[in-house]
Amino acid sequence: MTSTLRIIGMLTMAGFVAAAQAPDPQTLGPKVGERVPDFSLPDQHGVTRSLKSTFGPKGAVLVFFRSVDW
Amino acid sequence: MPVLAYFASRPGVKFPLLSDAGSAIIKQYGIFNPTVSADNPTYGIPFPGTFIVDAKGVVTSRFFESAYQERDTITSVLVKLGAKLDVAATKITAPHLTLTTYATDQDAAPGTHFSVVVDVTPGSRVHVYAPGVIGYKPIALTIDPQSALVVRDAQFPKSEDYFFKPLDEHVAVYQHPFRIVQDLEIDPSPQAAAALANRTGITITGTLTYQACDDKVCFTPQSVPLSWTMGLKPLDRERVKRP
Repeated sequence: MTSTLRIIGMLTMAGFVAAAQAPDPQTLGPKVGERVPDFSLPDQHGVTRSLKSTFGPKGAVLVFFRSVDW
Repeated sequence: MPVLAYFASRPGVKFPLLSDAGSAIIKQYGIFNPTVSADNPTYGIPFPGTFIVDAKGVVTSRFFESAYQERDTITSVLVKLGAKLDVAATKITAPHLTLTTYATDQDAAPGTHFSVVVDVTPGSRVHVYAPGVIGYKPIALTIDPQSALVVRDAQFPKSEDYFFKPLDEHVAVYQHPFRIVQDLEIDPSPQAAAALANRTGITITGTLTYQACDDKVCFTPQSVPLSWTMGLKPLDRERVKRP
């Protein structure tokens, strides 16, 4: 009985630590009104792209996602 | 790069896909996900999200999520920015209001964040009450709960101040066309997967309740049933071909 209780306690603590480390993504990165960093990255055709090169007349939608491979 | 090229050969990918090997730019943007341990194959991923930037590179809006399984559809982002979508809509003539209602997407998969929208046009000289108003019945959209559907936040626009002289009172109202956006999600949890197995569609139901008044009288509170039908898609589990 005692050991069962101890294990539950440890799991809860581990869960708590993990939750404490996860930042709220709403608070991360450039905010509304701030300028986003430039970059130089290869696209799917092997062409190096800068931030400006992705812009249309009104700007761009920058989507960050996990990966196309997993 | 071959992986990106293969992925980009799928239908619908017409935009640049950039490879951030080593996550240098992800870190520079400050959106690196530090909760993934270095020995995990997904180490290096960002928090998933979208920045909309103007032609000077300044952020005009942003939409971020904490879990990689979850993502906003671009149409659900656009409706919040006031865009008119080219989607099938239902027009309803309700007492004192005209409603145009639609879902932002035809299909959704587990983890998809989409929205149902109610565009409301009050009749001539009519107003309805904004959320939070006390003493009148504020307009509200209630979505009926069902398995595998996560009901998220609803966005109402900023209200207008209405001065009602006979009672010398100021109330928060809507008297011009306005938009209600209700965010929804198909539950990406393993528990929900069982409820979603073999289903090809989902019908979402809800109710719009409100009280309309003009400059003389208040009308009987109304309750308008609404529904939206969408297709359900499984997750795309096709892996890219390795070179």
